[in-house]
Amino acid sequence: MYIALKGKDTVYLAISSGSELSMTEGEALLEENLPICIGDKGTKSLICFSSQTMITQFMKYDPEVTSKHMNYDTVLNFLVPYIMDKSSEYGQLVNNQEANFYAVVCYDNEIYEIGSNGEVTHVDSSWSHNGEPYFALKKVTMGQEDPITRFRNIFRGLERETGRKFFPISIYNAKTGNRKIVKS
Amino acid sequence: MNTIIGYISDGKVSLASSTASYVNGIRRVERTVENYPFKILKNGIVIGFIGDRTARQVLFSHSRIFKLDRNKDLTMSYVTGVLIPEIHDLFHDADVETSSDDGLMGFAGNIIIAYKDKAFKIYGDYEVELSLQYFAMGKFKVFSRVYLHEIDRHKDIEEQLVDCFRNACGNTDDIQAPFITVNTKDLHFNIVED
Repeated sequence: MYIALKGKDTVYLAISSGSELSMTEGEALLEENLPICIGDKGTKSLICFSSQTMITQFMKYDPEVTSKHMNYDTVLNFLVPYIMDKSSEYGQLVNNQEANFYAVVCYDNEIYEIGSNGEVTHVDSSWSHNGEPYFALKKVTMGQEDPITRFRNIFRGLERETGRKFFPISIYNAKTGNRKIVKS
Repeated sequence: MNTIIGYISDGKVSLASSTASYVNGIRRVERTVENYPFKILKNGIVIGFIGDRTARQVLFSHSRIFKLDRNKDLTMSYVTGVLIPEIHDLFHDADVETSSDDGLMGFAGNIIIAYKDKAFKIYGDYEVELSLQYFAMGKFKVFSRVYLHEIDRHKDIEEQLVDCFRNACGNTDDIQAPFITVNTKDLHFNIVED
């Protein structure tokens, strides 16, 4: 489960590690195993994938990606072709056509969503990955609370609603790339 | 040969699997090093493979691709950036990749790469996971993980890994002795017959 919310001057991105079935809780929290790519210092970009972890892994250790200052132009003309090329090279295009992923790129105070067909959408408020029960989250905003309290409340609500386990969660600040882990 | 379990402690990775399996309903026990699910490399890396036998043979016979990085270490960056493309090219060229219903390509199995106290799990879609302490891969990982969670690191780890398999035997006939263990410190195989 992934949620990105716009704060006052940055985007906060929360990734849940509580529903990972293939990993232990500790493994799911390891920075290396998280499906997130953090730009080099100064590039102010966070790239998160809700699926196709393997493509994210290439990106997070590829200086060609991490050194790029992401904006609409680079997302459209660099990142999307990069993802499609890698997906094609590794046979990860669904029915030889669409990339098997949903990505979000956060930088400065903007969020861009990349769909599985490579379509780029400028998200105006908040973002969550494409899980049907969570569409209501599209209306969620950061509000006046601090990001940790805000995300804690959102994920507690989701746990109550769905019965699924979402904690621990990692909250990233897109401006600094710093992570905070919230265990409950 | 359908499940690999492992435990990381005291600066080493201990691994275990079974050398017995059913092929077309016939019980088969591997008695030769070449057929074991693990291979010990001269540089101290231990690789493991479960799944398609042909893919395992291709991987093990080209194990020279498993080198250490310039710092004589294995890192996530090196595994994903260098080893994964090598493994992909190897399987692709050997034509052992498989296709799912929706056309996604991959290989039929799981790989483990262990070096010193690090273990990397590689899934059939080339996704890599770094292990933290205990891990299980393969058909019966669910049974095994329950017991792995209970391991006492003060006792002999490899004996306990075999005990995990013995306990898992109660849930399935497909996990059977002889069991095989290896660790990244001693770098030799141990076969447990019962």
